[in-house]
Amino acid sequence: MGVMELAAPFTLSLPAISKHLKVLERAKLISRGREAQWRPCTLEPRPLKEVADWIERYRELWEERFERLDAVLRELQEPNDSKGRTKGNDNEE
Amino acid sequence: MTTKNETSVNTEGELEITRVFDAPRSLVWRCWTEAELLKQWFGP
Repeated sequence: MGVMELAAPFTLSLPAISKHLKVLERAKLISRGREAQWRPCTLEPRPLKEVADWIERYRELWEERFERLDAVLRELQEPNDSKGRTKGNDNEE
Repeated sequence: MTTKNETSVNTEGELEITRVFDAPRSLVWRCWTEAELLKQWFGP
């Protein structure tokens, strides 16, 4: 897609759009060809996938942690442990 | 009831994961700050 096409849906000025495109290009999220006077942009999906994969790893990690925390909290709030005391007893708010 | 995690990336580029636990805040705090409790859930 050329800059005009890309800019069409937005209210930003063309210079502003160009600035954004430069940032995206630096981040290798788009690649830009050189054809005469216009530079068509191509989306590069691989870096985005890397980001998505990274986020997914941390999401899974915390999902598991929070599952275990949930279990610990439930156990602490059980009325009595084997010694007859309330495990989670402390100063509540 | 404990809800599942909500995940989002905010404008500062931080990954935020939110979960509500069915427990008093003070108890959740203990689970984060007491070593004996922390090690029961924090591991990789």
